[in-house]
Amino acid sequence: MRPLPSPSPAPLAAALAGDPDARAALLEAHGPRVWALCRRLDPEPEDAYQDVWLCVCSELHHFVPDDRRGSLGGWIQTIAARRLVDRHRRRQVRPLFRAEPLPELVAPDADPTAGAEGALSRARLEQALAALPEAQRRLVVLHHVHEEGVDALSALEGVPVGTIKSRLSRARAALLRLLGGAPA
Amino acid sequence: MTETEQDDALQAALAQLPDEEPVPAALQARTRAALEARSAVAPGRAPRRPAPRGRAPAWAAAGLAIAAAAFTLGAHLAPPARVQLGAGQQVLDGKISVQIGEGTLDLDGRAQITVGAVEPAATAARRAEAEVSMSAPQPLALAGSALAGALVTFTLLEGSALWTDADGSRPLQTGEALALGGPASGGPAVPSTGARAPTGAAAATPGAARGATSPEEQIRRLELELAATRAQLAQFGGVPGAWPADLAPGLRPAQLRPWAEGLAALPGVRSVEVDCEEYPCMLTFEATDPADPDWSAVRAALEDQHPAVPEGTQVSVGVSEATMEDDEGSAQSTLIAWLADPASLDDAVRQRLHVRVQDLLEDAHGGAPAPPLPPSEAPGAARHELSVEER
Repeated sequence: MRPLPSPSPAPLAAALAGDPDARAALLEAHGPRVWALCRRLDPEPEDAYQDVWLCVCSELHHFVPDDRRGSLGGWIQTIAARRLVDRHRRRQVRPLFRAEPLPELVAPDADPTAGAEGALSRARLEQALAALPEAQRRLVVLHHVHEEGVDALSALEGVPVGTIKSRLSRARAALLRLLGGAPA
Repeated sequence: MTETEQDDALQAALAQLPDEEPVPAALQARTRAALEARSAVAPGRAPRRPAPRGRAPAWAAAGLAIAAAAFTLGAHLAPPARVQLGAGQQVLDGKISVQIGEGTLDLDGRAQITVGAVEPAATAARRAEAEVSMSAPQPLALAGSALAGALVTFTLLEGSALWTDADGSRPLQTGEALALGGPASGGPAVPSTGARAPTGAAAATPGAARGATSPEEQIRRLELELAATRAQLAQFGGVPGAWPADLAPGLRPAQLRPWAEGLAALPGVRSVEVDCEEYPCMLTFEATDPADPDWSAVRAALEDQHPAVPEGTQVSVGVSEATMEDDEGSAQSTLIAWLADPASLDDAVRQRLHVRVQDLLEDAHGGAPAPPLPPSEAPGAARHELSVEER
């Protein structure tokens, strides 16, 4: 993973002032990371992407370059995660859909972590991730893919760190089951 | 491989997944336009502008066709930002005044704006193309003539909104939708309110007809409201489709129903209801132990599918689970499943599936409506305070 890009003060000030070029530069620099989150975590990723960026730009004046997050990319990721949680809570009574045939997901005889070349294929892993309940998927994606620490997740979800750890463990177990391996 | 080794391998595989993905160019352009439009600063209320003519609309395109044009920052003499609003949805966020016809909506918060069609899409698409002018403090003016034949719906997501027209002012509640359907002849916009989109019943009120001058005019406006409400219902709820002609017999009610009802005998299942009113059949299972539902037997049966489905036939299985708890701590756990031919799962079928599953969940949990917002933001919307856990 490449390091999070750090902003120089001038473009950030310009973006804060509403300079369209500076904001476009922000989108170019940080959009791919936000998009990866939205695509994996929101059933309406395009809407979520716009929503996140509107939120980021309206909160930009709160960003302190030398805060403990230390980077604009990290700060944007936090904003994005919070926004996605908000969106999830709003629609939490809506059920999730899984149109994929379950038998394609579950291959009981297969070793879930072994593919043709001994590695789990990305496509299969993404498919199984998509089939996880949203709350579990969010934790797995943020922690294991986007490297958010359990402390940050604890703050995000409003639960103790120990709860985050146990939820992560359960989420991975569910993921393994979806991949056709581990016991319930 | 041991469980620990599997877990380690899984974590390693997850860490290899990319944390960045290329943003689709069209989405990036739309987002840039939305940000630019939001940051537009210019004094005064924007003048109304005639609707553009002769341009191809973006009705068929998924999402929103919104593009900023003629936009200059900083210069106080700069013209207000003009945003082309095509059919579809967009979220407005901030302090915005929207002028439609003779009324004005003052928003301080977030609202979803949907431009749809009252008339058949092909006709209304051209008319749905509306021009929006935006300037500080960001009043939007939708040209009245451009709204002819279009249905514009605002749904207040959070914050406050005040609708003002000749009849006076009225605040909108969070989650409330304000539908404004203009007649094709280019007359004034006709507001109707009450729909809690997208889950609630659309409830157009006859308030808009009060201002009509004659009984004929009132009837005409009420008919327009009815058309607008039907369009909303079709938009949010979809329309039941026909059963696929070449559907496997095992997925038809005659064979699926008895098989599904037999699943009530599985461990962990207290009851099962089968709804074959429309395609595909929907199965609703209640757990014997809501506090710790065990759906493994049901899932296994669904994976095996009905024995009458020929071997090798592809079947899509959808499963939704919800555990709800009322404020007295009484829980109920539901699993809803459907079995369908993957080839039949077009957008219309998926939309209906979504609505049906939501309706079934509401029915299964004491008839309490499933509010789109947490109860704290929509007091009185739910009979019980519900908490939902997706497993």
